[in-house]
Amino acid sequence: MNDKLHEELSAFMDDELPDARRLADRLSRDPELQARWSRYHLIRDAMTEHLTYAELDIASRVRAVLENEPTVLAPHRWRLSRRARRVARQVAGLAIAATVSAVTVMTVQQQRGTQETVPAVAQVVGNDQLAVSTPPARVVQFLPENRKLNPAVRSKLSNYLVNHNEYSVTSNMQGVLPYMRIVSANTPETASPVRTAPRIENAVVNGQ
Amino acid sequence: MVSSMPLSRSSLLALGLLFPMLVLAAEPLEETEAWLQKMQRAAHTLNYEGTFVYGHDNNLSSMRIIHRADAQGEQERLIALDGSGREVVRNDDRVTCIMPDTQSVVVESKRPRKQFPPAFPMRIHNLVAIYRFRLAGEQQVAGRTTQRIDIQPRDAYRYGHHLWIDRKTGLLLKTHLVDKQGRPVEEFMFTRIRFLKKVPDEWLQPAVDASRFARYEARQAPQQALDNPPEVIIGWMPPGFHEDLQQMQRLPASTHPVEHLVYSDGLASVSLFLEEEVERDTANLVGATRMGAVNAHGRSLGDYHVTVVGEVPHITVKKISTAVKLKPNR
Repeated sequence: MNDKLHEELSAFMDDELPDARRLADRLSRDPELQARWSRYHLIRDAMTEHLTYAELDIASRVRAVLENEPTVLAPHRWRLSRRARRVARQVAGLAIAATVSAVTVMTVQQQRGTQETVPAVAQVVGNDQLAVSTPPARVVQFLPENRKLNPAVRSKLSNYLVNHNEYSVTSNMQGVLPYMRIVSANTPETASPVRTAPRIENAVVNGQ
Repeated sequence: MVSSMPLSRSSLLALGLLFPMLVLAAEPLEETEAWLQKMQRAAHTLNYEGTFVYGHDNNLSSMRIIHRADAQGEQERLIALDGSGREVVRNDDRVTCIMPDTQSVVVESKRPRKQFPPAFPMRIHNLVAIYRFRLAGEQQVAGRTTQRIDIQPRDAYRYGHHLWIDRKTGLLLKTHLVDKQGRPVEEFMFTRIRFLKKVPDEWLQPAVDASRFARYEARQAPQQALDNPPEVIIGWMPPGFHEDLQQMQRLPASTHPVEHLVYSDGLASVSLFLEEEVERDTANLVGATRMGAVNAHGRSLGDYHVTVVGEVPHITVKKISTAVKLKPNR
């Protein structure tokens, strides 16, 4: 893996890469790059103390990662720490680190005053930990409007979507393809066009 | 008087120059339309088996598809290749989703289509005012020669399409739904495809034994009108959007009836859902969200809640949603 790629990855992390799409494509194909991506996040989180309480137990893993990442720490030390300072100043929502998403969920849901705060956050944090130890299926989300929704909202929206798809010209033009959204809807922490799990909840709700 | 001659001569000259250009412009449009119609037919009439990737928001999933169309109708099977074992089996309008990861089966029957979408196969002559159509040459996808067609919106209120259509069969082998800057918001691409004379029955059988899974079958709820149907004023729609459908229905997710309106420009569609808001319902979407190519925006509107959903940019659903008003006569 070359230095240019590292630079790009680093810039991508700060949402400063102009042509992020190309790197994202590569990231989605390259397991080695995905692993590095995860480590970068861990490193940055460690440096900016962005780790949440739920992730403190992986501090030892972070140390192990740092030991195995001399290339990042040596030539990029200045770069990272400069960024780290800036990141620390940024509003949490602007950052794309997994930990920050967890915080965002908590904030959003607490504002709404729902009872689901605790399990939802636990779930997201759990998944992100998983993403740290294995190459993540979900690589990154940098679309600010793709925010976390509470399950009830997601569920209702899914039903709207199924009904919308039925009458959508775009869906129809693609023939059978709308169903691919059903099959691909398997990452619990991201919203996707058709959610299977919430539909089950619906069925249960309506199956009285 | 003096100037009339040279003027008409120059306009004649201009016309003479313009005319072949108009003819040239019209021909690709007809060719484009023929391609799109061929594509639409192919989607429902071919036997094939292949693998494709589907991506949005940097999520990428790989799936296998088996499709059969014969005298008995249309059948297909989609299999997730991510190890989850998820499958969707479709028999004409009956769709079965098998999800080993949640030990469940969801069966859904589509409502019979009432000639929908009405404008299909599309008449692109009606669309040229709002989209640019371009035959963008031949490209290779999954080892096959495709005709690329680019459909570019003339404003920021809809997405563009890049379509790669198999030249031989007409099957859509790759698509990009793109935003105004040409960045993909949703992508689909076959990585391998085989066209077949016959598809064996067993290929369409799910690999998973779902007999012990929990089974959920969406019931066909009778249509039910709102007790006191609201009259809404659609304050804003993007140019070229017209009403395609208005119906009352009871959606499975909702405890009360929902009014569903569909608007379309012939290519992009937007749904508007309106339901009574008994109290402050936490299940209602407030503000915006997006899922790949689909954007949604919701807000309270008096005693109702309005949610706008569609494969259009965020600004479009937001503008529509915020411009909806209730008629004040009640």
